[in-house]
Amino acid sequence: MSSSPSTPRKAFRVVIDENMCQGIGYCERTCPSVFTVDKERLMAVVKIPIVDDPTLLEQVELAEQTCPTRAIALIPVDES
Amino acid sequence: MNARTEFVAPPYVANMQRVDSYADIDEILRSEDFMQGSHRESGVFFNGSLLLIEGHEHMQRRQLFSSLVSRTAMHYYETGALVPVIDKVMQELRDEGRGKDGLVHVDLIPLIRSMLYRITALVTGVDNVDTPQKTERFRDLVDKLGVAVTVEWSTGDHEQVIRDGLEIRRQLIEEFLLPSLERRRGLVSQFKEGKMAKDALPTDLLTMLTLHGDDKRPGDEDYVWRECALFLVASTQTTTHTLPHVIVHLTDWCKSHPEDAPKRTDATFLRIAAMESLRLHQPAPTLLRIALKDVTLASGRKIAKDERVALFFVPANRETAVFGPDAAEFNPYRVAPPRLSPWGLTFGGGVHTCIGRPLVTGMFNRPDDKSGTEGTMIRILRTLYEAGAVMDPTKPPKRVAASYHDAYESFPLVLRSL
Repeated sequence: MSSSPSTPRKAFRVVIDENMCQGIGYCERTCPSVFTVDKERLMAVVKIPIVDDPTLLEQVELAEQTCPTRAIALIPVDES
Repeated sequence: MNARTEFVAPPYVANMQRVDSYADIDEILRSEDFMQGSHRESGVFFNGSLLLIEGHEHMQRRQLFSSLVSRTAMHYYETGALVPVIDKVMQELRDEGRGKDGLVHVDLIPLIRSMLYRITALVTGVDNVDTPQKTERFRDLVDKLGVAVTVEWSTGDHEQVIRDGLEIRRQLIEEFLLPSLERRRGLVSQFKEGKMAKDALPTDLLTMLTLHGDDKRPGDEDYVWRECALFLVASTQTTTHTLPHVIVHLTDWCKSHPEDAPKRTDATFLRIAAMESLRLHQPAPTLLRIALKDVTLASGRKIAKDERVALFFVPANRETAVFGPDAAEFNPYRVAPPRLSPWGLTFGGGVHTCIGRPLVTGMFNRPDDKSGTEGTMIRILRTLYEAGAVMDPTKPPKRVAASYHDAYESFPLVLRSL
């Protein structure tokens, strides 16, 4: 897929779908440098909105795929 | 025909506290004070699988299976596995499916299963589903396994259903799963010996389990088959269950709104219709949860430690306070309230939200996202409506009699344009 985050040095905007997120926190536990959970709102919060470091992107991608409600989207910066 | 049959509570949950408010169910599903309570009888098929584990073990398993549900994988399941099979099945109907009236008549239920079997095999990692005979045999075994793993909702003799299911599983293992696992063990050995790149390994459940050493757990060697059972059944269940409901609702809707009939080949219109149908009809009669301690919900409802409660999604998803005064009605123009899914609670919530949901509903970042997927339901619906699908006026659909599922066992269609 052209939008694969594994493409080297490509930048991705990390977005939380607030209609889907339930604040479960798997994202924070998988990639704490990018995600945290607002316990009051029961909602994930993105600490680094644009990620282009390949190692960090791998973790963000794992968080995106591990999220039980699939509330995380990685949007190529040139498309967002 | 009545698309909105009254919900009947299965006898299995008769002695449990019934929870049917949207807010209460939502709170229970999200809460860490509750654990899975479903599949006690069918545990022989699912125990230890992703469906029934909790806590850190659950998150680690989700991470292990992450590549099976990546966007890349979803894209491949849809375009590489579903679309070619749909094309092949439709061509076969075009060539050989005509009745005496010159039109194609087909039963939707086996048709859906014939379209989805390749996804089932791909996700699980089942090889050799490559001849018409083997394909039919694989579909039949998976279909029968699906009856056994939801034994709680069976209207038959539950012990017999389980016995039959175990025999079906034995045949599945012998004919399909074990040979596939053995091949993956060989591939993983080659990878570990440096003779094969990791990228060259298949991306499927059996490979992930073998890589992780879970193909042969000490003291629990059957675990691998229980995880397979979950993925074999779950990859097709929701689409097979809900798609007929969409057609019933759209048939009724287009009678009173004929101007919308041409929209039945429009993916965006079909998506909302599918989500409305998911909201109104749940694949499982109820979900069950067990309280880990004495709990008082925000509503004041009290649930005692170790109590198993039955979550009734049907009334919750039709709550007027949540979805508006017409909540019990099908409306393909409904806009979901903020912070709610358009399908309501149908895919569950919290950590046990259905892992296959994106396969069914599609994955897209925005409505105009060209790199997203449509989802199995929309792909199949669009194909059927492009072929002029209508419910067969001479053969009414039959509802499932062997269980309390809100589902059809037969759903005759006529494809008038094929």
